[in-house]
Amino acid sequence: MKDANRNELTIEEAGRVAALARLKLSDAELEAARFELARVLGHFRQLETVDTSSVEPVFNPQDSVNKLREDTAIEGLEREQLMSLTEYVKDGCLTVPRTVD
Amino acid sequence: MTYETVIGLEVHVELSTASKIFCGCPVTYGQEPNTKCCPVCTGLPGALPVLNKNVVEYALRTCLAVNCEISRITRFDRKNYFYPDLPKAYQISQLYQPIGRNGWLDIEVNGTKRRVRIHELHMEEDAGKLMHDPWEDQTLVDYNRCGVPLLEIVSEPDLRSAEEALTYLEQLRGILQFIGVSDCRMEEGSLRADVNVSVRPAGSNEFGTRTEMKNMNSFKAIGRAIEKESLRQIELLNEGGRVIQETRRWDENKDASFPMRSKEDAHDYRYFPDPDLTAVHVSEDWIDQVRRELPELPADRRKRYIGELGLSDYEAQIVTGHPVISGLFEDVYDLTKLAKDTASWIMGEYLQLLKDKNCGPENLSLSAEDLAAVVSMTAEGKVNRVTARKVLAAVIEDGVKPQTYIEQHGLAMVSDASLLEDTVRRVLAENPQSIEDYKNGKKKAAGFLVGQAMRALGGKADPQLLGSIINRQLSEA
Ligand SMILES: [Zn+2]
Repeated sequence: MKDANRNELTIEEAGRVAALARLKLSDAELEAARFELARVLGHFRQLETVDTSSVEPVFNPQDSVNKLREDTAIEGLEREQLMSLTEYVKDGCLTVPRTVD
Repeated sequence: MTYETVIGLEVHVELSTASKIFCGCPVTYGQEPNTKCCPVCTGLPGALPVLNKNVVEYALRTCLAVNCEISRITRFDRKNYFYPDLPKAYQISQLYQPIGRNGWLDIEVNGTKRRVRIHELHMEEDAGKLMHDPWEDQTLVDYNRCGVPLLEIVSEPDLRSAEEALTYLEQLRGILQFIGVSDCRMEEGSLRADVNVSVRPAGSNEFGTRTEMKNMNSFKAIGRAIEKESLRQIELLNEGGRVIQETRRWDENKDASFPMRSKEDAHDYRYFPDPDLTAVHVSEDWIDQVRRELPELPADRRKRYIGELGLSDYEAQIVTGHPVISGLFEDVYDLTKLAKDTASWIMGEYLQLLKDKNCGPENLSLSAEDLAAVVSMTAEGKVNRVTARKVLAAVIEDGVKPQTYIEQHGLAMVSDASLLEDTVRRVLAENPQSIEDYKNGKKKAAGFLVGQAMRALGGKADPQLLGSIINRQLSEA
């Protein structure tokens, strides 16, 4: 993807993007995703042709800076409320499949 | 071939703010799982983070204390990865514009000074805690720690031995405790380090391939892990092998490190600026205000103690090792004006008490006034040191005042010269054999006689004074 002038996205690259997003795609889905991603990249390549040398980069859609809060602790959610969002609960904890190490 | 070890440290420190970095949940340790959480820190849809002002203040304080250049505009970025301890599937951190860069700390090991450069210092949020279910093949997740503010302090690979790495860490911990940004309790995980180790032929300017050991939270383990890892790499190279860049896990029980089974080949965190947070503009005024409020740092204090109070390097090092101990030294010195004596009591009896009680300096209730009284009484010869030790123990156990205890137990030292002379005369009369031994060159006999006289006086005499009386009477006998 480093080559800005390339139109194609390889199936390996599409597979890697899917893996990073933890998506398990069939061959047909991967082929469709590859096509759509290539089009998205095409749009950005089009944007890249605009001369932005005199434009300040925008990091944030808002102009405001220093939106800070005072360091005051407040109570958040009751544990029951939080845990009611999932059925995977044990001893007040969320449970997930065993993670390595 | 001789090799040189090259070490870099990434230190993570949890800040002791009242609330988390992007939400109002309290920062506390050891609570019931998932009771200090809200929609922001558990990543519920629609929740928006707002930066805690105090986190920026603490970061600025730390930047100044470790000599970092402060970014006038600093921003947050998202680091994307999937792991059950990270409910948003991204960690808010700083990659492109961290708050601090290009700092340094001076350390001294075995008389050699070395400047350890600090590459950068940035703010980020901590992740949750994973615990293995002892009964079922699954993992339990506690989100309480999600969003606890962290500073990450990244050193350049400027350290050359385990000893240097530990000295740097100790110094850094002392600074963080002094400026009050963290309690740095390693056993609770509020200070942990990722350790990068590589080796290269001595004299070479190129770096070898490095390995990383993550999340280490004890000095002992870090020192040991560096030693063993550099040995492992050297052996590997000597056998004609090569080091692979990898993350290894240190197993303290097996005293060895092992490659982590990592499914994620080369990380790809896809960092990008977090659109939910605004940039932070740090004004000169803000920096000046933080600088004015910065307490005296341990290194400056040590310099002052050595230069003005006449302490040795070692004494100065010990009494500035922890902010509570340093505060105690300051206060006791103010009351007694006895720098050497105060240092001696703190390094001796006081540290021994902490060890015996297995507690930290913040948990031992001993007022500066009481310690000052004990130090002064001993220095003035009102009680001898052995007695004074008993007094100190009673002060701590029963909360009595030193003066009261001494009066109640009749412990004041015998300063009546004629009583001392008479006692010595009697002891000599009772021990003719010792006098004989002494005259035959057995100088130890004098020590025995001092012991006998001290016992006769109930331990309430100045041993030096007693010794000189005995020596004089022996020479006259
Ligand atoms: Zn929260």
